[in-house]
Amino acid sequence: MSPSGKIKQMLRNLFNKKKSSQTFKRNAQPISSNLFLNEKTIKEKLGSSDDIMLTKFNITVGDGQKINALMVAVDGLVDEDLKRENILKPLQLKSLDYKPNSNLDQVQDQMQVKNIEVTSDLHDALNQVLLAKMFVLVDGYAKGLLIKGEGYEVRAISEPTNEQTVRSSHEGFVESNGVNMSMIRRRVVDQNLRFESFELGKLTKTDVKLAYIEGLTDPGIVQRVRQRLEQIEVDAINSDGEIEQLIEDHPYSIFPTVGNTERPDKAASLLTEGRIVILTSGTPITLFGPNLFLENFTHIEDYTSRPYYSSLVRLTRFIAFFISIFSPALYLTALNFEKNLIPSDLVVPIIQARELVPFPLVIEMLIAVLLYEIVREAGVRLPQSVGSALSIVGALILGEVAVSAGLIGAPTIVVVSLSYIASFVITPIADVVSILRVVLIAAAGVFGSFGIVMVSLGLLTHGVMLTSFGVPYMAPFSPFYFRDWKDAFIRVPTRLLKKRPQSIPMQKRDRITSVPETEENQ
Amino acid sequence: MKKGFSFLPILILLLLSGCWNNSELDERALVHGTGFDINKETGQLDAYVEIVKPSPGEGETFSSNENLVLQIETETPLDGARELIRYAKRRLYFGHTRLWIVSEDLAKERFAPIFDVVRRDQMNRLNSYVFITKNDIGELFNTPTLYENLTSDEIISGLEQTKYTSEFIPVRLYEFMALNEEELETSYMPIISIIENVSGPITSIEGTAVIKDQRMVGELTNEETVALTIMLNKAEGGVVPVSKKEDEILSMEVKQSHLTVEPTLKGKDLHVSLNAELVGELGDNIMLHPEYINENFMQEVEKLIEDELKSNLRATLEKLQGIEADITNIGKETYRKYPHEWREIKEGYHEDIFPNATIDIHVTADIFHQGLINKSLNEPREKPENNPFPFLE
Repeated sequence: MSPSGKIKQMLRNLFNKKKSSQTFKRNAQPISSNLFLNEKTIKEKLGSSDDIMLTKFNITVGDGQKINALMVAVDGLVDEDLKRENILKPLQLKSLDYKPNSNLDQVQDQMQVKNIEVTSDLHDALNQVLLAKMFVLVDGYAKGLLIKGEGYEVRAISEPTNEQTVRSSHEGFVESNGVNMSMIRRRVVDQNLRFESFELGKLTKTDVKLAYIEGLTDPGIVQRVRQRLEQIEVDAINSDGEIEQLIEDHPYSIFPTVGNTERPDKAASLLTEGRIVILTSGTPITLFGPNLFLENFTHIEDYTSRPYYSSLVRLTRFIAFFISIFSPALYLTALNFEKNLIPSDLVVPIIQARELVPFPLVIEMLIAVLLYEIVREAGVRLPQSVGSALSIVGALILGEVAVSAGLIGAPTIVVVSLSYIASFVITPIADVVSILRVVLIAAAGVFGSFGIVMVSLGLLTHGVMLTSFGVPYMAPFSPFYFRDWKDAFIRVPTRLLKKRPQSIPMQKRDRITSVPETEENQ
Repeated sequence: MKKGFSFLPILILLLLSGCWNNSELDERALVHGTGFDINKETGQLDAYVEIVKPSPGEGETFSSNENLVLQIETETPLDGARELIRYAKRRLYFGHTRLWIVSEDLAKERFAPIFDVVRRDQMNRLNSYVFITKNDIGELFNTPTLYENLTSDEIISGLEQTKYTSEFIPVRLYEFMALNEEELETSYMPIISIIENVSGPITSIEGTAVIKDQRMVGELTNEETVALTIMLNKAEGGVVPVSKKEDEILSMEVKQSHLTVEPTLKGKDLHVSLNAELVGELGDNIMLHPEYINENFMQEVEKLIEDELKSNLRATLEKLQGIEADITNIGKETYRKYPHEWREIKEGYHEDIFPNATIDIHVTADIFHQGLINKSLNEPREKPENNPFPFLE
């Protein structure tokens, strides 16, 4: 960027910030000391929705004087028991000893709740009401009380369906940030664990939390994420995916540079590895970063199992990745360009299968890919009651009959389905793999092995260029951090992983201070 | 954006044309075996190809007619390959050819240069195998197969089993070419024939052709081929049967063999001392009057085997001396030991030096394992002396 461009950018930022602070000021509205006026304003602002509950009640002061009061809350968002038993009942039944002061301290004391906030901004207070707080106004006072007491329905903690494990925690995140934060807090019991709050979306006011461990996580990464979250000014944030796409380093790349997980144990272990985690209310998926390419091949269970099998599984995942993206393209190359590549013993079955099919091999392959893509998408979105119908159509009609009808050759089906099954091993980048597969098929169909080489080169170049919150995406392969290879293609025993990965910048490297001695050392 | 659009025509141009050597599998005829014969009437070359037949039969299992054999009369191999398109309706692809067969008639002329184009063209497999046949090549390719789809494939698959027999030496194309370019300029090729067996005609390797000056000058029988494998240090298996008395047969299964050649050249007189060491197991022990297998017995058997092998080696060498073609390592070792003198004798080596060479043969056979029993199977059983269950007496 040229210097003039930088200045322009700075000015634009300055202007944007000013604009946002101005809008805030314009919307701010002081609370009137007249309860009737306040009520009118509230009704104007919130309209006459059924779920807005305006409860009028009286507070008796010691000398028998009655003061009108009003409570604003949203039905279903607040805890109804708390509201009735701990707020309204004490205020109505028991009289106040003294007339409340300007800060309404006496009223606060009377209520049997904690977490009360005094506010004088009606606009902000009503926003808080919509975010599940109760708001109490007292006649004659230009201040109101905001009481925390969410009571909306939250899904019970259950096993994450998309990231299942055998030997790990069976808890999954839920849609509530409060519950999710508690789950992380339970796992990372450290004073330095920080949750920073952000409110994103003008209409949705989505609650977003940025979690990190102070003193461990690189401040540069935290600052970068914080700044990007602050810069988001959109009408609606409906899911974590929208945030992901807005804060990514490379939004136009096919590789995801922000990871996501549904598992609190994974989130906790990522935090202790010096990464940031972003919780979004309304979704059980949390985002994390920096997310390296290597992350797609690891699983939380790699660390709970013993190293040997974990290493085997790791290697399998890498192999599955290559099989998944290259096998259809290589098959195509072998048949159309480098016929020497076909194993001589396979020549006869392959030729006989090809002879039946009327289409060129590229078209045949693309038809097979399209069919699989359709079956897969249908299987994901399908209502469970018609699931068996899909498996019949998918397996029987598309697989069996397509071959015997001569629409697709059996070897093609084998190659394409192998490629698809292999991609399920690496679910985090299964979508990337699907795209790469088609790109490579196209390249191989036009240019053969030359096409595969060119696409692979482009892919590698693109991969090493990517960053995730400023951290090289392909680390530890490029830049080359050999020390991190202990936990890359294979995983060495836990006692040897004395330092945190070099690939991710952080403030504290050592993670193992001492381990029990082994019998072998003696 | 404008820049992007200017790339579009280039992209379309590339995508629509594609790579020049793109060809669908069903536009090509994949040749698995090729044969050359000489046409007796015209004196031209007869080229045979065995092509994979893309039979679109549904649920068809192994059948013998999955191959397609075509024959054409041509002047050169390449010309034949191109002219065959007329018959095959597809362009022939030789990248999968693993078998090259030359008929005996052609082999007796100068045939080796035929393989020039095979080597010159980059798409051929130099690790394919070469054979000579006395049968009609078309008939050979049409021999019903036992396991594989194509006759060529079946012949090749059998060659991997050479470890357990020493009655043939598979020769790859590059080996054949290398042999022809070495100092001795002689080579050998297995002979493939059709023989009648219980389940009909089958292909079998019967003997070895001796090639000198790029033409076939003689042949060795199966038994002589065993001697040749020993002389070429290629014997890793095989059974050597000997008779101890009449109607009794013993044999050694060879596991290892090592042969050293020590030539001594004095002027034009070549004296060679061959020293063969064979290690193996006691194989058959078909005796009418079984003997207890002990050290003495083993030494007797070893002696018999040594004599047997010695006479076989002698006979084979005499035959080769008679044909005047040294396909053993004798000439090679002489060249290595006397590189300066070689220049003088090279010219008439096969005709003068080798046939008149005196050859001493020493064979040492060592049976290191006798098998699991100490006696022959049909020995009358005796009660064991040490009864482990005395209370049963």
